[in-house]
Amino acid sequence: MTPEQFAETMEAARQQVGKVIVGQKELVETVLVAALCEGHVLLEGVPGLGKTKLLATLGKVLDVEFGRVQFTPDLMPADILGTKVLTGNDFKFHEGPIFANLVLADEINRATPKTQSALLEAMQERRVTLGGETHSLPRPFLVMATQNPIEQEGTYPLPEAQLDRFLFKALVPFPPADDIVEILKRTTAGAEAEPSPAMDGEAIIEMANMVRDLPAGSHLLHYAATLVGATHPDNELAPELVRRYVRNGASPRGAQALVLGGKAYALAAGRTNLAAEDIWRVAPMSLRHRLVLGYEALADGVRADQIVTEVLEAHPTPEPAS
Amino acid sequence: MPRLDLRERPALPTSVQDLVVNARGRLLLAGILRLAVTLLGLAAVLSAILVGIARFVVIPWAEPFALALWAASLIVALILALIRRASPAKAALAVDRRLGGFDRVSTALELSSRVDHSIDERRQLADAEAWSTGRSLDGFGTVWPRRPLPQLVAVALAATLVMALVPSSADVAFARRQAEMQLIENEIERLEETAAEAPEEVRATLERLLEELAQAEGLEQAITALGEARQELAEQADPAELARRTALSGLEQRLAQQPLSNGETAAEQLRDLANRLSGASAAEMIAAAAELSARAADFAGIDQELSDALAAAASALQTAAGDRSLAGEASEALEAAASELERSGEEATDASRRGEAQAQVRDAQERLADAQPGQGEGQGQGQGQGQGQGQGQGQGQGQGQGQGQGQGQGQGQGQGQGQGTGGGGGGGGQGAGGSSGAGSSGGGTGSGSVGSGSGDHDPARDPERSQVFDPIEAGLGDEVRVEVTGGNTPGEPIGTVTGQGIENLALQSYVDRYADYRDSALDSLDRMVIPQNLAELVRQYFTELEP
Repeated sequence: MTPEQFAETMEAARQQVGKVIVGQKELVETVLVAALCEGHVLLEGVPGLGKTKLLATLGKVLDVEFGRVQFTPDLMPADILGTKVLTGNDFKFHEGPIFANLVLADEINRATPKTQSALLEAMQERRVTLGGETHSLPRPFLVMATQNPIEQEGTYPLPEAQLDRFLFKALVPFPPADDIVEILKRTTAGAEAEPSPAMDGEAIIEMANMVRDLPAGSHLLHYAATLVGATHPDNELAPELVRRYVRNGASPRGAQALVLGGKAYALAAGRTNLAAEDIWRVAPMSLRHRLVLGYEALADGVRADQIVTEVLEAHPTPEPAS
Repeated sequence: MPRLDLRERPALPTSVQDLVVNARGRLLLAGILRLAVTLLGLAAVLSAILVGIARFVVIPWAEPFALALWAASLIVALILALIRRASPAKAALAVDRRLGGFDRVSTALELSSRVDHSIDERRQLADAEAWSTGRSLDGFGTVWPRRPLPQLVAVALAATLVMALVPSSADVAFARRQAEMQLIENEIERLEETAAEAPEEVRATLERLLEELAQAEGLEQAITALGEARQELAEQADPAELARRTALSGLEQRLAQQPLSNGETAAEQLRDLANRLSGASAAEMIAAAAELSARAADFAGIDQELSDALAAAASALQTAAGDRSLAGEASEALEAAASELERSGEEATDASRRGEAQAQVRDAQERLADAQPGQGEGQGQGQGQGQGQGQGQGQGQGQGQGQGQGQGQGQGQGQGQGQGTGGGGGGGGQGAGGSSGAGSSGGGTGSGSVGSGSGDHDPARDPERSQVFDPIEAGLGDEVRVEVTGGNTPGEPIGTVTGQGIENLALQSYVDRYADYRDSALDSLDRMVIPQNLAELVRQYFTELEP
């Protein structure tokens, strides 16, 4: 596959998703890019904005095995991972819904931390260990989670370790009036459009490999490292806002997300190398959930996106690698 | 996108390379201009402040320093720009950022340095080549620094130039001071040469003067120092020196025309006479004795030791003419007279150098006084009077000898109006004019009288005043007896002096001498700034003397 074919495939996937999802182009792009990075995505937004709809549609467009888990407070880890069931004289492992290519973890922050943590190994190692046995997860393996804002009642904020495993955290904005009208048209009259598959599992893997192989200048790798380093309050590169409001900065996974996501964006644009513009584009979605803000930030109403913007302004362009 | 050649390792595409090289040059130029404008701006502001202050306070180094600051800022800018010149990687990044290259160029630059290339890397290089082919740096941005910095720098530079070029009171004062210091420096150089040849006592005075001149902060101080030195030199001068030099000159001329023996100088003739005295006839001895006796009289009161030595030699010769056995003593007396003659000559030479030094100091003071604005005229007049006093004394003695008058006249001409005025007063006294002048109205009066009194040594010989005595121009005449008048009562005889009179070659045409002195005096009047009444007095003086 060439970059042009990559871009064409991406465009086809967008169009198919667009049959169902009105507007939200950035969000759709983010989710598709994350999928082609074989990365997990956390969608955050108030109920009713189409998060689940988007991911369900994505499952159809990608034409991969789709699994959905509705997270509730009484959800147990075995409900996700699977369990051993006595069959005859032996215990036989029954795979849970996580054994799918695309797992929709709906309202993930409604589950207890114990259940949330059941996803840790699966998301990072792409395997499940249960009763001393390890079971590999299929490839591609994508976890697409949704969550309501943590201020909502009856939710359990995801721990930092869990958040760090998401490649991107996308914020689902409230649609503009025109989009709402279009949504109404599509959902309140006649049958809803059905998307067609735009790519399958093999294509996803091939495209994910392309993403990884895309050339990236060392200055851009340094730039990604600089940006991540600048999110740490004790780093000399950190801007004032970081020093005041951030308790812990992004992990190296944040830098990985910057580069990998940037590469996917570059290929989606038909380009043959990573660019600083790609890093700028993925920076908010890659870093916002990896910043641990202090109480001062909460008190002053400072959000993570402001911090990321400050970091980008402090380091607007990459420097030549020494 | 160009088709990939997977068989060969791709180098950096030429189009990419050209783009990077050109961008690097633009960045260098932009860096030079930016740094130059920035540093020049700082230099301009500093120099504007400095030159502005220098308009009110004399800062001699302000303008050169400002220029040096500008030059240094440009040089530093150039050096810094070269040191901080953008690397190829930085230039490639600049191309990507400014021309929208999406890191194609910078990534290609890095990939081209690797040995092995994947298909994706080759594809990237080909993409970068396709993108950079035919691309210009038009959108790269201007090399000129952003406004308004260049405009501010231009304003600061212009302000500095205007302040530097438009003369201020401080500039005028500085230029005047420079000119004054240069004048002083010139005088120092002249006086250094004079000091090198001056007698020890004079040299010490001149060296002190040179130190004071070197430390003088202006003409006023220098003139004051010169005046003090001049006064000191005048005090050192022996009034009798002029008469001695005149008498010595007359002696040499006399013996040159009527030699006593062989030898070019008088002393050599005396020694030669002493050596061959044993072979000399009595008549020769008597004649020589008479001659020496006459010369001894010339030096009486002027150089008494020489006079005594000459008289002793004359007496010994007279004795030896009658008693040949005493020829040895006569020879010794002649040797002693020769030695005294040499000593007196040396002293006269020193005195002459002292006089030269004094003249040099006087000339330096006059030059500096002329160069001093406003105050020059007043000071010049004061100096003229001071000189006149010194000369007046000299003339008084000169007249007594008869020969001294000639010298007095020369000085009288050189002194100008101050002396001319005195001449009027001294004219009536004739030969005694010198003494009368000195006693009455100061030096100026006395010196002027020299001119009138010199010719009247013997009215019996020259009742028409058609001729005057001028030993400088020619030799001496016969021995004459001069009646000396003057003192506190001009015209009353105070005694007589026997000396060499005027005759033959020493007599010069009064008309010619008068014309020379008149022309010289009137010429001096034209050149010098003196009060009108004094100038008129000088003219009146020469009118009265007109033959």
